[in-house]
Amino acid sequence: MSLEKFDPLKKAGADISGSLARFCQNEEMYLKFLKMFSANEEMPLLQIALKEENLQDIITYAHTLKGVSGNLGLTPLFELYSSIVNSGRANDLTKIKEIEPQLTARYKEFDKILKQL
Amino acid sequence: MKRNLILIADDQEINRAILRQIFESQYEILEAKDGEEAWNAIKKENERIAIVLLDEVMPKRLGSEILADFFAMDFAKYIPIILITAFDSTEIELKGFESGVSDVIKKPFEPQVVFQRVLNVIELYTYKNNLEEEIERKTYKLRETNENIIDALSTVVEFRNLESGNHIHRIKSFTKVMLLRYLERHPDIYISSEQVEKICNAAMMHDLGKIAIPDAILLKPGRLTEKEFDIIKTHCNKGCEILDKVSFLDDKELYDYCHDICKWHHERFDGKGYPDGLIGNAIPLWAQIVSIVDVYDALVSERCYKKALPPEEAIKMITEGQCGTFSPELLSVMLKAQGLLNQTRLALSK
Repeated sequence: MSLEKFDPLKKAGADISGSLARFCQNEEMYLKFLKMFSANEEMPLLQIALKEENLQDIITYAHTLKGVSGNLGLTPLFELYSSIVNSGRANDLTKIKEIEPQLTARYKEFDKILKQL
Repeated sequence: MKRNLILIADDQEINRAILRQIFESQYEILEAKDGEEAWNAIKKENERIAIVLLDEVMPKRLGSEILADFFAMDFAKYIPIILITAFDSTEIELKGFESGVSDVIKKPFEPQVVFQRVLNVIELYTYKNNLEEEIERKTYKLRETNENIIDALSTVVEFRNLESGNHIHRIKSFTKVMLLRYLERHPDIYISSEQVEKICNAAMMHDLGKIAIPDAILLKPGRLTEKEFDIIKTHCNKGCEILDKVSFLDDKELYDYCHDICKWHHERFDGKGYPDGLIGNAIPLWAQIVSIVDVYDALVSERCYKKALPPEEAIKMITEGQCGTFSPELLSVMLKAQGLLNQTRLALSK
């Protein structure tokens, strides 16, 4: 398998080499979980929670997505989820609402790349 | 059994897969995808689990709930837990440590760091578990040695006294019967079962000091003069002197029971006993018990100068105060326990 495959992700800010190290250089496995991420159930649930302004659910789903995106090296998403979790724990819904459009845009961008892998 | 299983509890497959890959060449891996599965796996495999890698936020049961049960059920003594979290605040980390976990690992994982940390904790626990087993073995050995010493010493005393066989073993068993009945009636007094065993072993040593009494007095067939009786009375303190020289009794608690029983098993509840004239419950309970069962055994056993009394008569004499004064509480325990005392006596005379 060629690493060029991951170039679009790298350009979008993903940490490919760090993630491959995390997967013990198992590219196939890394690819499998990247594809799984684009079909994850938590993002739609997070979006509902954001719409309903349900702070507890927002924290729960953002927290899960943070862990997974972090392990997959999707650093820009990881950082956005991270900010949401932190703001959620500080009960700062305004801040979360500020982050939401950035997250939606970035997520769309990554989702598109992941679906083409 | 060697602990060779790592339980990975995380609801996200990707997190489990990464951890599995880090460890699967060296350990057997068990995965749990929610809190309920994790808890069931712990209950089922707790003897094989080397470590639990526990995600904090999981469906069905939270990591924190599992931790609470885990520590309540004693598993934590043998199995370490590492908390896995995507939270990055120090507060969460500290909370994890406060709940008793060995380490906290943050996502995203740094495989080499995770590997080393997990291995370190497993190693520490393996060492600790082995050490505990070793201590348990040594403690058992020590107890056995102490019991052998007590058995040997008290047999010497028995032999020297020319007492009918088994006197000391009867005293030991009677003491146990009385002590357990007493404790049943006094839930406010806590004596552990280990302490009960020590007291019963110490009871065998009650006449240790008689080794130091000259034959001419100890074995005199006729009535003792007042002076001779004074010498007999010294056996209580002599017993303690001997105990002090027996440095191998390095179990302080056992030593204390032996000491109290040797010294005060001839005290009387009304203060008219010897050597110190202690009154009432100033005499330790165990010394009081040995005192009363010593009298009981003397009455129901045959001696060269007297026949054995029927047990009912012995109990009657003791409770009526013909053989010294005892605590009313102990007398009532003895009345209730008389059947059991007699069964014990018959069993030991076989």
